[in-house]
Amino acid sequence: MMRRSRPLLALGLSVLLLAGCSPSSPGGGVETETATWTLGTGQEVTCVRSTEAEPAEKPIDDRTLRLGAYGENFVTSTLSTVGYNNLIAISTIYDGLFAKDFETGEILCRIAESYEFIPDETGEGMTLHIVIREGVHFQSGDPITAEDCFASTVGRVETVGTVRTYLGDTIDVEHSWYEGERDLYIKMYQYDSTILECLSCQWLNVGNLSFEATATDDDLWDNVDGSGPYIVEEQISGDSVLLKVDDNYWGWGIVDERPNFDYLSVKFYSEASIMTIDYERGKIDACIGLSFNDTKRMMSQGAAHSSTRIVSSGNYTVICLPTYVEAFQDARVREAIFCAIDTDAAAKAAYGALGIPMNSYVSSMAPYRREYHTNKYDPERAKALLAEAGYPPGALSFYTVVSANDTCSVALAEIIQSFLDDVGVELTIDTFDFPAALQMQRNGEVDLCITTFYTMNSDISGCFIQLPEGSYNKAAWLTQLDPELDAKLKEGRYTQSTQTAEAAYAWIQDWLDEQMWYIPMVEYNTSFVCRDYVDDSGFYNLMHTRDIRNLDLIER
Amino acid sequence: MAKYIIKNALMVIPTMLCVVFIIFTINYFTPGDPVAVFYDFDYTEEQYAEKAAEWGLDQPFFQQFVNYIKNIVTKLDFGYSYYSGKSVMSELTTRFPVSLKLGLISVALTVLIGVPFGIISATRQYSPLDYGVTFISLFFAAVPGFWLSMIMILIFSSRLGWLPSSGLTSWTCYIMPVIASSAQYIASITRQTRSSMLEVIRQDYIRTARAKGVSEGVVIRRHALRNALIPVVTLIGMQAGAVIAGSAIIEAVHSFPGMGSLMMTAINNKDYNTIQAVVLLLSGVVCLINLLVDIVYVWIDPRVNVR
Repeated sequence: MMRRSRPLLALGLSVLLLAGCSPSSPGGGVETETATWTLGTGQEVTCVRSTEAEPAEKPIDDRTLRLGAYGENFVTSTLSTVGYNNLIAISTIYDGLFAKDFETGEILCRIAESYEFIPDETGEGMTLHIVIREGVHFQSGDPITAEDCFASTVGRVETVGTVRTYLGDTIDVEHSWYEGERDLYIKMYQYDSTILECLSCQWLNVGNLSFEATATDDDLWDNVDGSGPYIVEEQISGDSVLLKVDDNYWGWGIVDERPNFDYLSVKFYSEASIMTIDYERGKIDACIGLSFNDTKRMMSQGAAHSSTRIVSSGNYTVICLPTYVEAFQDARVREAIFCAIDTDAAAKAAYGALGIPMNSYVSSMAPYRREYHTNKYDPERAKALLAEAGYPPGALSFYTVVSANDTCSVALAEIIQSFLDDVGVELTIDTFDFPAALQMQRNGEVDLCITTFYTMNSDISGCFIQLPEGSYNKAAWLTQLDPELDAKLKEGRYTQSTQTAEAAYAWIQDWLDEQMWYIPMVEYNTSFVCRDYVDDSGFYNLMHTRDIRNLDLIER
Repeated sequence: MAKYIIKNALMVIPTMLCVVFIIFTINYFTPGDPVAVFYDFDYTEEQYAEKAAEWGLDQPFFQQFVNYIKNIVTKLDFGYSYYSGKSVMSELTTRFPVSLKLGLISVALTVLIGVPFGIISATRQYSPLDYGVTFISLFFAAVPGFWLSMIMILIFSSRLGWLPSSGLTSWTCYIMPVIASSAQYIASITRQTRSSMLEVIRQDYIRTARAKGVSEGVVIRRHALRNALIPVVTLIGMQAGAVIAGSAIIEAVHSFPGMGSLMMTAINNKDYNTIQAVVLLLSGVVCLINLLVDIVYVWIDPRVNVR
């Protein structure tokens, strides 16, 4: 018997030996220092940096900055930006008229040299006159003209849904025009405080009109003619993209400094934890979009020769209580749902280090944001309110769908289900693929909608883009309940007076807090880690991936 | 023989048509709308109508199906990926060779390890070696490939740093995905070979061969193995189909840019054209492998042809 079991014992020992004898990963037990600060945008940054005196040696290829990202790569047409990771390519290959400095919150000129708002003589509306910088050109050498900028900005209001939603009521496409090579005139129905920030968004990057008109699908994959500082050298489907620093970029020394590397390689991972392993083994120099487990580990234990930072992204998840559900017409039921859920606990449990429980109805990046006591957790009061409204335990049952791809949302839904169950409300959760789930939510096929509000601009009107009736999320429509809500949304956005905007937005937030049609749950953090030979001092906003341009290698 | 091959080859056509029809129907009736996905759920009615017409989605179900088949047969055109915007054919051209290579190496490894160990295990029944092989094969038969992938990554990439955990930069990148995708099949083939061999070596003709003084090696190779191989070949065919089809989760774990990961992304994003094209290609591969298996049957057992 002993003799027969010997090979098995040997096998077991060798596995244990392999697992245990090796050098530990460089993640654990290093000395760190932590810093927290708030950016000009309102975002909070927490940074954990290891405290070694000398930075690590870069393991391979000194002239390439190697980045890991979670997801897939896509074509690089400025018109096809649907995912997160293709934005990495888009935001490095292309430039916009303006760019937002996430450290200060300022909007800076890029391809635009200057701009002015010209009021119309009739007193109705105004024109944004933008002067294109002299000498700007595409990577092919073609000059960037006012016509290209017109097509890439005004032209997209009609073709790209997201742009139309944000700017359709602002830009008068029919009466906008351009003159010569450098003058672009954007006719606006009225002043819009968000216009410059919207124009700095990646959706409105400037593309080469003549190139895009004739480009084949393959051209848009790896032979694209961008307006930005990086050229696509190679793109492997489902694997990576290699970008080369364009030495002929018009903006070196004008709007940017040339980095100390020649290539930026981005490797895409379908498993965030594998990306972290590659980072720890020195295969990549930096990671974007760490999983919350890895973030938690790196923030608590530190990682050798590394700087880990988490930054609030501005995106947040809420529970909408749709007006089309009869039970929610009763304010007591809405309040009961509010009271049934411990939003702070739910946010922390579902999102871990990447979740910030919300104490406001808007993102942390929104000016005029007001804080409220949004976590009204009181299950006894919830039960009493439901009973008072005529809903004894078991009388209410709701249906919701979440995306099966988003494990955090699924976890959040399950936690909400458990809280509701405690007060006698049944919640049935179905999981679908992302598009199906989103479509069902937006078509109003759910009783309780756990949805994420994305923002193209930080303005409160951007946060509330789903509230007006007729917007793409039926579960979030609220303006039909009170015409003043719609009026205030417009008033806040279309005024040049900060006092008027502040008053309008205060009214809206108070209204939301009083009416309780939606429950703010969690704002996301995004996390990033890099080696200490990477200069990450200008890297703040991970959702607006243009900040990748601010990464550099420290020169030694 | 030619008639046999032609007959089996012709069977592939209705099989594949059925597969395409089923997938097309499932895609058509599941919730989710590719036009809405394309516009990120924010579109005007005119935009929707224009895009639906461009993609032929405004036509009746059967017309869409006929057009789809017509485009494939006449132009080898699978359409565009609704999600990435890239031509599906171009995606397949990049991804399929990766999965094919992975699949072929896995099958080769399975045959090279599984069959000999099955034979050894059968010919030395109840020996420590037989127990060892049985234990190991049962272990690997019970272990899911993705779990094995993760454990290997933990040991060989994270701890020891010997092998790359992901990507496709050198031949070493194939090692862990190949092991993960073939381990279960090696175990099954070992078990199947052992049991077939045990059945065959007890037959009278084997005893007769031994009585006639034929050496043990020749008895096993020429008389036992050949007769024991038919169920094993069937199993190998099934494995080849499954692995070349793309071990989706294993590819996802290793960030391997093959058919499996393409399929996962396509399913998660309602990318109908890609899903259909991948399934069609994979069913073609499975049919082709089955055809090869049928031919191998004839080679192994000529009576199959006669029947």
